[in-house]
Amino acid sequence: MKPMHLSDAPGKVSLPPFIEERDSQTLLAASPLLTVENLCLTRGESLILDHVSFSLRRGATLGLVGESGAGKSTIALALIGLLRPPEVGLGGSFALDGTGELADATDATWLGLRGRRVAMIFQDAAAALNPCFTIGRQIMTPLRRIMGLGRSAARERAIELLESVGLNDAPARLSAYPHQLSGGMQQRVMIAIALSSDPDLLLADEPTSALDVTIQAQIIRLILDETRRRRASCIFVLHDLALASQCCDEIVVLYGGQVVETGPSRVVLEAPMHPYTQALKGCVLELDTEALTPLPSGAPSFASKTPGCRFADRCPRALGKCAAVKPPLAETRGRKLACWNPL
Amino acid sequence: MSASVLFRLLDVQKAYDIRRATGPLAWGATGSLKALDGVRLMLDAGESMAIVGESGSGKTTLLRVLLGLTQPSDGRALFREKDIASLRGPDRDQFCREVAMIYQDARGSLNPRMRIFDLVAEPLDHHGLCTPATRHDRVAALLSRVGLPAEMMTRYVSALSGGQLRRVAIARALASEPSVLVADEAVSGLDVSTQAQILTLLRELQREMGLALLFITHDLGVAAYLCDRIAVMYLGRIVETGTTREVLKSPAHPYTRALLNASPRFFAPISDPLPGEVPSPIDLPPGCRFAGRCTRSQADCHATEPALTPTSPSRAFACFHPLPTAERSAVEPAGGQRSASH
Amino acid sequence: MADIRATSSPGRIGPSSLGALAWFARARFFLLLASSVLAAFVLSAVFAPWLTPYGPVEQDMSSFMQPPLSGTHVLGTDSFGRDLLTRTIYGARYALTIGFGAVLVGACGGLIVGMAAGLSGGLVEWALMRFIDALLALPSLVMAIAFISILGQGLDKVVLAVGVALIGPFSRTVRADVLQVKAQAFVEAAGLMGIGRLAIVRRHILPNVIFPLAVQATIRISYAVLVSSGLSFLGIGVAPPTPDWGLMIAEGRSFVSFAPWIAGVPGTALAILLIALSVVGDGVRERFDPKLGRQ
Repeated sequence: MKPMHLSDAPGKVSLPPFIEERDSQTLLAASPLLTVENLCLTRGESLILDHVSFSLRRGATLGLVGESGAGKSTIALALIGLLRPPEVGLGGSFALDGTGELADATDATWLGLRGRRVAMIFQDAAAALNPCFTIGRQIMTPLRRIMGLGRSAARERAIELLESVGLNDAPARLSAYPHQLSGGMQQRVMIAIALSSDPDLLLADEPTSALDVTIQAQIIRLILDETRRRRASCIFVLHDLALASQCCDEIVVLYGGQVVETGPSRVVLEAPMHPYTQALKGCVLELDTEALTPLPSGAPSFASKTPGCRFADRCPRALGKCAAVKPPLAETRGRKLACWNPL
Repeated sequence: MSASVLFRLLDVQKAYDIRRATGPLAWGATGSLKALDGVRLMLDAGESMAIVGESGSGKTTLLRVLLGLTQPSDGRALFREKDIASLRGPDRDQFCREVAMIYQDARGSLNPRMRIFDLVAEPLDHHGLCTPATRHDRVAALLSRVGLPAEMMTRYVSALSGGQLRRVAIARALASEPSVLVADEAVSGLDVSTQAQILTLLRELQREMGLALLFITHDLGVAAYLCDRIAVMYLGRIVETGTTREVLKSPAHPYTRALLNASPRFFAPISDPLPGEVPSPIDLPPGCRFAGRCTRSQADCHATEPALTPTSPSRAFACFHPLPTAERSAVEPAGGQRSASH
Repeated sequence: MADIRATSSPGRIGPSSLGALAWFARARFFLLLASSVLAAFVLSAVFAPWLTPYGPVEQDMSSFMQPPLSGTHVLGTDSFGRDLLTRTIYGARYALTIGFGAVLVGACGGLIVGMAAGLSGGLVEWALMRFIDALLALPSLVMAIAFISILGQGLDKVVLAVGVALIGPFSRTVRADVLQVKAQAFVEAAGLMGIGRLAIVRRHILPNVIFPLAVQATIRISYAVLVSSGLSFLGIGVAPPTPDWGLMIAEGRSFVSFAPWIAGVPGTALAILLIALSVVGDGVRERFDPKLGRQ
């Protein structure tokens, strides 16, 4: 049972013909949209991502959860080609359905992919929108460059997009500047820009952390509705486990750049098997939480030389070999788990 | 009872005059921005209260009034029955000693050029709470009370992590032996595990030392865990108060219920969010300020502003059509009231 | 919980300190070079009597206007037969003394005026701001000339004149820093504790203002040296036969076409010192300026 609403209301937006064609094809595709295999990312001496693997089906939502420094934003940036050699070292592979290997893709390849097949929504909308240009210009630029629309066609489409993300009085908004909008509205604009060329994969990096909780609910609902409608997939980067349980089909729990547990969010979060997932869950405040069980203090080490599980020094169930040998990600009880001594 | 009341706010109002430009060179009529409008609040000794609200709710202004940093434009703000803004001399010293503040930005609230020892010892010295001989031991004791090793005394702020700095800020707040701790979003922006540690610490301290706690937050879970009482604010007014358990289990005010619905809960379906955004506080239309977004609003809601009326000694809300008791649950009622998205 | 920041330096320095030094040398080559040059100037200025072959005002008409690398005088002689190497080294004394001295005067004056402007309000602040504006309206050299005309010539007068001319820029930066520090939470927190205004200024505001001021001062030393050399060049700085570089350049002006080294040697020394001071000043600022976010 999927824990979210399906909004089947027909969209007001009429998609260009070539996208509708692709739509019917994608429904028949069985292969996953995104596969990430043993992705490693190094920065200098540090191993920021350590053999991260997961896959994402079309139309599904996936949550990358973990604390700060776990590598979730890093994965998102790598998946859209914003973190590449020579800044960082990339190992392993990841690919979108229909493209080649992306870990070593060229600038030209990424230029063709970004905005068209992969788009990103950032955490701080105010910082992600250029304060010098009007909203209209920022939405119309990708429409004209990537979709090749003429000026008036782009303007019409921009108005449609703004209305579809819930901004009323769209024509007036086109000539507004980002600072004239509230945080929630800025985030909606960013979502509109990201969705303007109908990408297959939407990356949302903590899209609501900077917003009030009632606005957060609106924005999450908006992202889910829009991606459902366009049959796109969405990866959420979140630190809020409860929110992840509400809006993600699948979940990947990260610690120190390593995947510790991944699988359907219901399975993983209802009965976590990895001690870290359990500990994270124990720190989440529900309205009737009587006692919190905090984790012992500490932070993961990113040295490339640590051979074992990076959680070993804080883990209440650590065995001798946990720090020495890295547990492989293995299928257990409906999810994938990397632990020598699971719950 | 009056001897143990620490803070008392009586119909406090804080209004700012705003001049708006009506054209490139013309300045139009002045509008009035009521950051606080008719706030009534009471905090007893040893009581823990959470002030919950989103941005624009006026909680920051409320805090500043309570600390004496701003004077209310109307109404009275009292500490131990004395007007806060006009405290002078020994009364003011007592106020500064008894009221300790923990900031949201822990790093910003600690002087980067001072060592941890000096930071924590500053209130000790200022209030003359210990002799120079015992300073070292007192600081060490305070640091260990908040779970920090004594070696940290010699370090500077830049060497500590965010979580550790929160603890230092708490230690400093405790140094003056206060009777009330005021915290402004003291745990937001932290990782959940650090947040859990700090919250556990605060709860322990509050219970052990019998401190009153005034905790400003936007997170209902934090409010539920830490505080016995809760006050929900919207656009400068308190719309509901009561014990945390009661209010969160069966909210009366539609805004409180909207906040509950919007708070993430494990596996709960994402309910219909509250439509629209917080309206501009300048020149609000008459009537209940929540009426524009309320799914239950009726004609009288747009006519007059409901006042915060107590329904029992511990419960009060400001609504003409509160949620009926039968319908009051933390989840949106079945059938749903699908209010169109804004 | 470490934030991953994009830095261009390698992730970690290797365990050996020699390796660390090698990395530092590679990454900050110019800084190291400039620091060494500056150190050389300072040391030679301090140990001038032991380093110089001749006296600074010792004339030897038999070997006047000798080009550099000609026998006994390594850098040549000027029109009075004085050894240029000696005079240049002694000149470093004057340049550095005036540079540091003037900056000290300017920084102290700027600190007082800037703090007063930043901490006061109302009419006092307005008046101080206009005063600072007036100081800033005149170019430093012009102001220095004006002060010299009041005070007269001489080393101490030059230091004072250049120093006072620097008060304007310093007070502007100090005021900006004071305003920024005043708005920080820890200042408000101290106020909430009941700590008096004076104690807050002394304990919280001043330390946070002095540090950026010191960083600014290192950058302005080169400017002070330049201004003082300008004064000497114009003939209103130190009096001849003091071996001041500006003076030496002025004296060598008439001989530029056939004895360019007389002005060239002190000129080159001045240029090198200014560049070294600028690079070191920048390096100090990069390392220590809290506004740049790196500490």
